[in-house]
Order: sequence, then structure tokens, then C-alpha cells
Amino acid sequence: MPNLKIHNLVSILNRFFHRFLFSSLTVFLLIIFTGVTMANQLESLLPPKAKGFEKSEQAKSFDRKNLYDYLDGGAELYLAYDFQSLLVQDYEAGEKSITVEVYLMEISQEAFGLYSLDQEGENIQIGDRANYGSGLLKFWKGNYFVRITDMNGNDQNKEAILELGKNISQKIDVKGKLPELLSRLPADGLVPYSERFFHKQIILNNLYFLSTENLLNLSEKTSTVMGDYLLGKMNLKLLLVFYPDTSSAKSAFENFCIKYLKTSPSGNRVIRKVEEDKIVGVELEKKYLWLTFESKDEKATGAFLQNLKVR
Amino acid sequence: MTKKEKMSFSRRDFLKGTTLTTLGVALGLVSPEVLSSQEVKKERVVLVRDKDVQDNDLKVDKNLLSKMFDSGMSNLGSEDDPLKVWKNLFSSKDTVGIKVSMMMTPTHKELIELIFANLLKAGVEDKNIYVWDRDKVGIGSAEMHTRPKNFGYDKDHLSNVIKKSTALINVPGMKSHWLAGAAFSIKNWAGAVDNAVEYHTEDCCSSFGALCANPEIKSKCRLIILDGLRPLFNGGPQVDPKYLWNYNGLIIGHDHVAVDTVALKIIQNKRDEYKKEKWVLSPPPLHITLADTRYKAGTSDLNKIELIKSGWQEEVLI
Repeated sequence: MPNLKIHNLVSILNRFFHRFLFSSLTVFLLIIFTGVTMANQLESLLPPKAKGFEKSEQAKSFDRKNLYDYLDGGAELYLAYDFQSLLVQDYEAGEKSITVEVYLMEISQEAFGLYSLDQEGENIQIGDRANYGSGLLKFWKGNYFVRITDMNGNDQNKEAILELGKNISQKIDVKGKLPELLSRLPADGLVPYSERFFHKQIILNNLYFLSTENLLNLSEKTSTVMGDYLLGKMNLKLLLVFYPDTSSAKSAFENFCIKYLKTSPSGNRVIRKVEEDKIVGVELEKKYLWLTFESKDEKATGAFLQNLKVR
Repeated sequence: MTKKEKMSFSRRDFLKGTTLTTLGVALGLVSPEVLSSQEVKKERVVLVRDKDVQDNDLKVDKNLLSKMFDSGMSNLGSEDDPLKVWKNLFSSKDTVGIKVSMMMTPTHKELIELIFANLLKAGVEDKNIYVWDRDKVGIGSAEMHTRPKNFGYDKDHLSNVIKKSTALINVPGMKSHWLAGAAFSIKNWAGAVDNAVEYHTEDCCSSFGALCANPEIKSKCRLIILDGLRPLFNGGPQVDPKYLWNYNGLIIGHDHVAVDTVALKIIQNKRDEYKKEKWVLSPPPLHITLADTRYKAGTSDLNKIELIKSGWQEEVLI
């Protein structure tokens, strides 16, 4: 009997290890396969050459796990936009060098978000939106965000950079969708190409430092658009945060009023003068939180917030 | 390596200038008059520049860089002969770890070669010089650029290069940083631990000072040489070339916080010059001031820094 029990136990353990090892191996192979497929998908977008520049070394690919190897200290930016995969390919012509980075994001709105962070430069007709300046072309198309860089920082290789960009863009056969939230930013007074889209506190603090604390409870569950406005003589920054539910929005509203504006809100709108005589306005509207910064006119800020609400 | 603390600091605190005052001064938000005027021993930081050290194609003239570097070292040690300064800092008994930065705006190869050459002249043996970033280590001159070895990390997440070295030289790049505000000598130690992600926090990476205050690093780091030949003044570590410029400088010192405070002032002034208005680094590089006030790793008070400038003075920005 004891021998039989031991035999049974060994048999059970055998089956368990076989299943476990088999399923682990399957998952492992699936991860490898998915990674290879993604890398191949990105590599297929790259032309072999452009304007005398040819691919130099083997392309390098990165995913969510090893993005830090390429961008230590910068990976968090891409991960905050639901990054999936990256391919980096150098092109060379003699001693000149151009680097192409193709980022694949989960959805196109995230790719736009990354693109939106710095739209300064010459607008170019490539992809869904593109800009070029001092040796760097950035464009967004579908769920791809592409950077093509000549680190010399001049325009000597501009033609090759644009040619590479056009070639890559032509091979991406999807059109991107802008985040819906963008349409809620009022068009009147919006400084062209100043609109940004993001989710997390780390992006907000890069664009406009508010606090080391996450006062607005921003996370991957929230979406935020931000724009610069010029309204007559008044400048201001407008933030619109969309929360998953009304209680999260209310909680963020109260937290911001108490910790930043040092006041307990009695209604849904608070306007306060802060340092340097600047006006901060905040308005709660169901799942939305509107915030204005940098204005110097209390009355005009109130009117601006009122107009936002009735839109 | 667990000396990480949470902090609360808002834009309003920043503008009031009542906390982290030295940061406000470095960023030009607060008048320097608010700083201490007491007579204290000042921390020496040397800034040396040469207009022609790199050409328009960014090729570095190694002879000019060598002269610049010698001049900087002489000023740092108050010696006519820079070799004396090297010999005062390093000897044949030392094993020296040179912590470079290879991320996006890498430490210039020519500078690494000159540091190497000076260490050899000071008597350090070739096999006792490590050049490294993260876990890529080169032993001796043959491997200084390839860095093929892996030394691993200890239980406290610290690179084993630090354990094996008797002396360290910190050779960071000079760049703004999207998450930490700025990345100079203090932040360069993030490439010496295997848990750097824990320091890249949403509170503006306030705990980086814990790295240079780490006893192993603090006791062994004898020299900081900040590569300011072509700094980055916006974004980073990923580079938008329009924010790079040929500053053609080296900033040399012994105090991480003092070196970084000088570099911060230069980067901030460059930003203001570029936009032709105040364009404050965002997020503010709190870790530099906190390295002083929280971790006691050096001084962030410009009034307590003896800045010696030499060479090209046009657009020196400090």
C-alpha cells in the first residue's frame, strides 16, 4: 500500500509538472512569438534607404519590459501612454547618421498624446500630424508615433529625414482618431498646436508643475486635455480632466480646493487669487473637472468658466 | 539604499520661495539676497570653456579639450601643474571607477580618454581603472569604450564596481530631464544601482540625493567632471536637437550639490535666453536642493560656492 501511495504521488507530481512546464513553455513561446511578430511588423515599415542613407546596424527592438535599456529615466513617459513596442534603426551615409524610432501604442489616441507634448516646429504633411525642426521630424499616424533624428541639430539632412518619414507613413494604412475629450476644449482663443492629451501626474508636472502630491488624483483611469489660451489681453492655461465617475471627480475637486487653494468648497466653482496675483479657477461638472491657471483677471476667469459649463 | 522619503511641495510653495529657497535662487525666481551672507568656507567649483573645442560638425579637438581640462584641474587644486592635483587625489594604490553616462547624450569619448590618461600619469595601474555605466564595465584602456564586463550588484542594489573601487570619479552629462527637472552629477548615480526605477518617482524624483549621500559613494567619490560640451536644456533624456547647444564647457568640483547648482543656473539661464522670458524648468529639480537640505550631501547655496571661471567667457550664462 505505501508503495502504491508513493507511486500515485509521483504520478500526480509528474502530471502537475508536465502541465505546469507545458503551460509555462506555451506562455513563454507566446511572449517570444508576440514580441518577434511586433518587431517584424515595425521593421516592415522601414525603407532600406533614402536619399543616400542606408540602414546600418541591425535594428533594435524594445517592449514594455526592457524599454528602460533604451531610455533609462525616459521610459516612464512612454509607459504612461500605454506603450507596446519600439523599433530603433540607424541609417548612415558616410559619417552622417540618422536615427529612426517607431513607437507602437495600444490605441491611436495614446500615440497622439505622445505627439502632442511638443508640437513646436514647422508643420509638415506627413501622417496624421507632423512637425519638423532642427533635425527632428516627429509624426503621429494611427497608433504609431515616429521620431526621426539627426543629432547634429541642423537641417543638412532634412530631405533624407522627410523622405524616410513619408516612406514610413505610407506603409501605415490606418488613420488615427483624436481623443474625444479634445473636442470639449473651446476653439475660441486656443493657441494653435498648444493642446495636449495625457493621463498621469508625471506628465502634468512636466507640462505645468503643480505639486509633488497627486492633488487631482490623475491616473491611467483619467484623461486630461490641456490648452493655452489667449483671450484678448488675458493668457491662461485650461485643464479638463475626465474621471471614471462623478464621485472620483468630486473627490479630486475637494482635494484640490483644500490642499492647493486652502479652502473648503461650498459650491461647484472656486476662484482664488494665489501667488504673483495669479488667479486659479476650478469648476466641477459631473465627471469633469475644469481648471484654469495663470490668469490675472478674476472676473474674466469666472466668465470663462461659466461659458465652459454651458457649452 | 532605502533612504527615500515622500515630500509635499506645490507650485505655490515654489512661488512663495519660503521653502527650498536655494532652488528658487538657482532658477532665478528668488533674489540671491535671501541667501546666507555669513562668512563660511566656500566649496570650490571650476568652470572652464573653450570656444573652438568642437567644430560645427561636433568633432572634438582633443588637444584643446586637454588644455581646458588641465586648466580646470589646476584651478581646482590651486596648482600650476595639473598633474600635482591628480597625484593629490589618486595614487598607485587606488582602483578607480569612472562612472560615465551612456544614455542619449553620452559622456564624450575624448573626455573619458583624457581622464584615463591622467590617472595613468598619476600612477594608477591600467588594470585598476574601470569605466562603467549601469552594468557595463570596461577594465583598463582596452575596454574603456566597449565596456564588455558585468560586475552585478550587491544586496543593497549598489553596483559591485563601487565595492571593488577605492576611489570614484563621476563624469555625468549636462541635461534637463522631463521627470527630474535636471540630470547632472547627483542623478548620474541612478546608473550605479539596479533599482533606479524606484528613484524615478512622480514627486519630481526627490530622493536622488540619497544616492550621492550613500556612504560608499560619498566616501569614495573624489572628483566630479561634468561634461558640458553640448548640454540639453529642455526635455531629456530623449533628445530634441533644437534644445542642444555648444556650451563647450567642463564643470569640475568635489561637491555633487555645488556642481549641480552651478549647472542648474546655466541651464535655467539658457532656457530664459531661448524663450526671451522666464521659462522655469518643469518639473523643478527638487532633488538638487534636497540633496543639501535632506541628505546633507553638499551645498546648494550659491553664496557658499566659490566659482572659478576660466577660458571663453562669451555667453557663459553664470
